[in-house]
Amino acid sequence: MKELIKRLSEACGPSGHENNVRDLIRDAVASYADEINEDVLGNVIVTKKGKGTDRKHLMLVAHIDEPGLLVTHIEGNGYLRVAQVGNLEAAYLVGQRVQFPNGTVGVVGTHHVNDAGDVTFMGLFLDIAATSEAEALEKVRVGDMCTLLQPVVELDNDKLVGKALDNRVGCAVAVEALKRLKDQEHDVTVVFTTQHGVGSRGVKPAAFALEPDFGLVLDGVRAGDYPGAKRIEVGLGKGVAVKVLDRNVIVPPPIKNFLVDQAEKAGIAYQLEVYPDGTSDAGAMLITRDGIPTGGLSLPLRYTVTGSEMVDLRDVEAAVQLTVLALQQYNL
Amino acid sequence: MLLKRLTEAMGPSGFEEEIRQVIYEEIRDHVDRVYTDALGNLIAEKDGTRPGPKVMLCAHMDEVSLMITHIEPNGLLQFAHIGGIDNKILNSQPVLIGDSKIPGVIGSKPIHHQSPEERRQPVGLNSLRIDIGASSREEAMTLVEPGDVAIFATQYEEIGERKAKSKSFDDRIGCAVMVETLKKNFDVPTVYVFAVQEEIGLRGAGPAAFRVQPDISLVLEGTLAADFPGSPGHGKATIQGNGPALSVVDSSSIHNRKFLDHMVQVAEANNLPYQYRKTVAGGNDAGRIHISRAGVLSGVISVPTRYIHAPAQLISLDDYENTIALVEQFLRSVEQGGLGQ
Amino acid sequence: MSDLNIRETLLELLTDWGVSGYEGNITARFRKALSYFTDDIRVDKLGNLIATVKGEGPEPRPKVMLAAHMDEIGLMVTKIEAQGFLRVTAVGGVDPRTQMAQEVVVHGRDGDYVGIFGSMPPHLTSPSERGKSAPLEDMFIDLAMPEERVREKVRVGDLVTIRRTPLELPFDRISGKSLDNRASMTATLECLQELKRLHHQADVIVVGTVQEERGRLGAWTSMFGIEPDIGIAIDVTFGDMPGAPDDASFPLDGGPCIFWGPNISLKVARSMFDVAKRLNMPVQKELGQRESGTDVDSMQLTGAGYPTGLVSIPVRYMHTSVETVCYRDIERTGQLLAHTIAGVDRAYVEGLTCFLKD
Repeated sequence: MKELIKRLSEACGPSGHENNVRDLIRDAVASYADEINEDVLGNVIVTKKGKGTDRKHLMLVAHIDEPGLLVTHIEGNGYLRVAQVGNLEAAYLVGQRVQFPNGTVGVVGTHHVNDAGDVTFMGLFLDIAATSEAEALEKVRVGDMCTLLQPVVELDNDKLVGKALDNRVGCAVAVEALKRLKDQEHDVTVVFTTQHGVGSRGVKPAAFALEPDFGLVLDGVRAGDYPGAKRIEVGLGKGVAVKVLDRNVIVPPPIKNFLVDQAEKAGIAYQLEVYPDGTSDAGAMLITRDGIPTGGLSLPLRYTVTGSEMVDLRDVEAAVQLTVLALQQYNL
Repeated sequence: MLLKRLTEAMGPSGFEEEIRQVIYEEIRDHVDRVYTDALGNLIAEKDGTRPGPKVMLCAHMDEVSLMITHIEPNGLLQFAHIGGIDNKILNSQPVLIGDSKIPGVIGSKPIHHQSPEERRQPVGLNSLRIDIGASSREEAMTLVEPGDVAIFATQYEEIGERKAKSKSFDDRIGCAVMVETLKKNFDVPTVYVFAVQEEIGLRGAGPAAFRVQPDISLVLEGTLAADFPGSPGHGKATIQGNGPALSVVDSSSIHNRKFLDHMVQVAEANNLPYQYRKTVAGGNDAGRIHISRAGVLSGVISVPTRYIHAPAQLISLDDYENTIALVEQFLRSVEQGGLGQ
Repeated sequence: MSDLNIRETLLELLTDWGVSGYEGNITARFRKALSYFTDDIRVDKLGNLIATVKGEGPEPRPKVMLAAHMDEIGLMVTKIEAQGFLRVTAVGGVDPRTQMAQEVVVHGRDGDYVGIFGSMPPHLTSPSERGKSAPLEDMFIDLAMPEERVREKVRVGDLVTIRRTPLELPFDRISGKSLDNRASMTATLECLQELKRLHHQADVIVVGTVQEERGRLGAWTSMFGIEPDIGIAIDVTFGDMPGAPDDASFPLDGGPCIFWGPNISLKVARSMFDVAKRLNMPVQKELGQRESGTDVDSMQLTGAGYPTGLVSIPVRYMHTSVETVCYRDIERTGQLLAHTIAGVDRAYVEGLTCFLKD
């Protein structure tokens, strides 16, 4: 699983251009799926039929996109101008290396500023070592997107650091859950969604088309256990987080209680997530059609949006166990 | 003249009565079916000769405008925006109010009475009033009531070289492109949605797309052109005269690369100019359409428009004509199985 | 079946709690009240309460949906600090300045606990500190229990509401928490009561919606499921106060406010103004230029779009625990709705989507 997280994290998959991640996901789930489909938005839809007679349709969701930089303009001297797509901070990007899906690498520079707080996206540019517009055009076009280039590193046995762990870890949990799910009662569809970071644009059509009876969303949640962090009572190594509230959703209490009860019965480490600033695909899913009861399980991450997100593999294992259990024991 | 009729008609968001009727009269003899829905979207259908793919074109009828909110004892009118307007452009503009288009002017305290500090500040809504010549609330109430809407009193006019100005090219220019397009015949079924309420949150197009259920959608817009002195290369958004602008990413959608590449190919194959819309700012109805139901393959073509959301908006007539041509060639390409639908 | 005391029902609703997503208690009370009018009551997948009163018209009858949200704003526990103090976050639009020094109820898994929003005595604060208001995240609730007991009884995610007994004021005014939107729920009961005396072709579907204060969620799904011909939301709006904008300041006892603006059907609004005129009822015009911030925003855009209307009851001190309403406005709102519904037939409904003149 560590290997899978590493591969997924290092892949380039900005919102709307998730092709590289999509290919990795398709490979990873191939042997555990009854069927794999793709829709107009590029969502990867993996089905695994249940064995029961009175089957419900359960939908497990993990978004595959990450924030990226979009090329809006190529200067005569080969520099690229960019705009943000998704949640990025201009000041964090200065000096970072970025990579395009075709492998082109660049460095992020900024107009001179006297104060780091004055860094803006209008003042950022990419240097891909092209010396003219024509040279740049051999590698990229206006409309192409890139993401941070950051290899995953391991810190002691349990901790991984890398970019886009939000939500490639969630993707890995979904893949692993598919692998471990055997002879389950209900039909399970795992949807690896696109364009989460720009307003859950992938999950809406997918949920509309699939009309599941129940939704479970896997995503990252920012931890509050580092110095000066916002007051979020979620920490690394304390288990999978059962979602209570984020910016878009209040999880219906019966679903929250179901997940908590399953965790307690099985002795899976869990914590409760109240994260008013967080977003997930759960909110969009909940109001699809005449309503899809939806819950969420989250992976605690430190340093989100910085390119060096940290996750604890024990939390990841807890997430896999609780996900599998929830899908197997679903009775709401 | 079509552009004059379309751009001078009144159509504040949610109050599209007049523009809807104007468009209806332009199109009713050219389509198989035309109707309205609960929100007031005007929807025209042409069946074509083949079952699919069904293409939905969409332009919005509404324009940014004002609403009278309160009448003061002295007969001056307080007002609010409908849609995004920068207060800086409101001062000293003539307006037309309500169905009977009562004329009025937007006024503020003269510069003589302003302190040096005040003179440096933009004039906010609190300091602006509409004057219809009434000397009391009672007098004003004989012509206007709170809830009436107002538009800029700008006339359509062709000025300079191959340019035109009006109050509402955003998005009557898109409506005009659709009117010209629906006069042509295509093998594939086409649906033309003249949408309401785009300017207040892309509200009309979603329900329309839900009803129409298209396979492919193309939104036609009048979009930002900021090709001004001092704008850097990456700050112009679009350049007037350089042809129809193809949307890449905006605040409401991320282009489908397949769609964008296809549009480029169509333009190049037909020797039509095109440019990319080089900003992520702004959104349009495609944002609602592409995630309607199970998702719709969508794109946006815009006519670059200077001074958007201001009383005098400027377009290039060449861009307009090239947009009409590009839309036709796009639909021809779909007839021939382009986009693989 | 004896008649329902609707005013008493409002007072009961005000004593109970139901923060967004956790509307269960209110749902139960509303269900009981609605059962005086119909047996056809159900709860949908999101928790919306849906009660149908059949009309007299031939099938298929027009369907008019009345939506009043059941949820109230409140607080949720985010953290248990040393010594057992609680940190909270807002659910919906809570003004932290109205929470200071209030008594609260923390709704734990196994029971309710009284707490106090702690505040620093003026003796210990500097003049400049006294001039500032604390953000909610820096405030804390004192449960007066040792930390281990707090941790036993309360968990992250538990809800907190202001402890407030409703108060009947002179001149037919009622004050309390959550009149937004229990006043409107009550108006739908007044409407059903009035409809008993009238003939109506249309089916009336009263929906107590959930999670309005968190993005009008319940309205989306209930509208999608019910597919009515007309949807009318009932909510509260701003009572007059010094300093309020001239166009958003509605006198109490001045009658219901009928919304006029882009995000409703102007045809439906005109009908309601006509009905009020016929009834000789005072009404007020509430103007909007964009989304109204009520359930009607979602209702209009659900599916292929619906004709909608919005009626609001003036309430002073919105989103505080002393919201104040005039009961006569609630009665009038019910009557306005009832007589509007009585005028709805097939032809009326068909006219709502016709905009073209040949």
